[in-house]
Amino acid sequence: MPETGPPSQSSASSVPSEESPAGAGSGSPERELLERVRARDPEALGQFYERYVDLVFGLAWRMLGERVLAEDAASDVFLKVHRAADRLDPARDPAPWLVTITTNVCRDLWRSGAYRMSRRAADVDDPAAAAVLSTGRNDPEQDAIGSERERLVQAALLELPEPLRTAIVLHDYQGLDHRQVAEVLHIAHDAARKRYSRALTALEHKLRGRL
Amino acid sequence: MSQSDGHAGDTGARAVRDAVAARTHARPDPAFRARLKQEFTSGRFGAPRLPVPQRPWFTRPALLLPMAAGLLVVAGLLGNRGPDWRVVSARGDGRVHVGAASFAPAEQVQIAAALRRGGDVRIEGAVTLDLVAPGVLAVTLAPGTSMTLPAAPGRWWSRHGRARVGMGDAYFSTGRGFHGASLTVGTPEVEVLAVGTAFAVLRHPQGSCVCVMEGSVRVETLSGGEAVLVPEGMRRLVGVSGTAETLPILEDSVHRLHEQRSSVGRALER
Repeated sequence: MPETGPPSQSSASSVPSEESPAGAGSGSPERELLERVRARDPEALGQFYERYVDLVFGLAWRMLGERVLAEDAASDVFLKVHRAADRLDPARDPAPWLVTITTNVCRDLWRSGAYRMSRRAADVDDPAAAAVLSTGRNDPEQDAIGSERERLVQAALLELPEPLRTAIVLHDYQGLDHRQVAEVLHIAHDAARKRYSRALTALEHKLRGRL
Repeated sequence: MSQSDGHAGDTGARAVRDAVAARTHARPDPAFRARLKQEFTSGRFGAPRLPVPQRPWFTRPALLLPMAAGLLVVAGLLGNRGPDWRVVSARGDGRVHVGAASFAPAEQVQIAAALRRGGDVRIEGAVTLDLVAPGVLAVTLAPGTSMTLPAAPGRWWSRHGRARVGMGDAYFSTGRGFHGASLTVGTPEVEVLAVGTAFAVLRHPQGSCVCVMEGSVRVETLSGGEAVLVPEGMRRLVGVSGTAETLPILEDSVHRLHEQRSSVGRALER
């Protein structure tokens, strides 16, 4: 099952790396936490959740383009994690594992009637999205420009076919390199590179003259 | 990250990459975040936020098959239904009784409506009633006749009709649509089986007479004796006492059957 056997990385919100997580050696706090997560200790689950919820939700949001769907996907991801907690490897960073689960959940959702139906009714200018996507700058003009730019990018991204969108999100938003994208998507390294290249070309075509 | 193995892009591609990478990180709504944490730590997950869209009830497989079967049965029943009886002509003075209803001969539409799928018909007075189930069967009731008329035979099944002549003269002619069907006509003395022919069943107080103008019919005497095949141009007389004989058909019967043919011919052949 692709959703088990987490590779690496301890950062909560972005780049899973190849290396083992810092301090994940025997007896490290990280490893101890994962051991307790395996035992479904509520406190450890809480810490685990706080550490990774933004990673999962952010990725789902970028993939699905809608808050409600992203919440649904995040719920599904943590449900799967809870069910598979006893198979968690404390020696490995769970972040890539979570990225894989989230990607698979989003792809399942894409292929479901629920996603197609919601996309028909959804508007990418979700006001709740604008609120959550605040840049935090104290500059309304720059915020407005940034918000418009984000909206354009997100709208163009949502128009891409599912495989291309996944490649862009994992590479540019999530920060995975092509080899990691290939692992998450279970495709060859070269295929991941070509897919990303095609995705970038398609996105560039859609955004030409608008950025 | 992946700058080293990234897309060897030009300015446009770089701008797109920058725009994607520069996007802010979305964060979950605090209420959702707290709820999901509670669910995750307790292991008690609620119902999914997005209800799984239910297929309309009429598209569920469990219902679809019986519904399709039901529709097929209904379509089959409707398609199998033979034509309704129509009144070709009702001439003479008197009344036509269909069941408990009584009509003047001029009320042909009403007679046809009452007789659509057959029923008990009684002719009072000097009325001659020509009926046809288009393409299948024609029946002419002479004055004074009372009979039970069946619905026309079905198209694919239920291809057997059963009529009964209580009194009087009834003339039967079959059309092309009758092919493969059969009609039994009963009287108190005989039972006549026809499978495609023109014949008359005359029932009088003395007995029954079956006259065959075309084809042949099988006549069975109800009081006993073997069934007889009556060929074209012959008639079978069966008295109330059970006596039976086969004789040549009378000119009058031939004439009456010809009359019927000329009256209902077009409708019968349709």
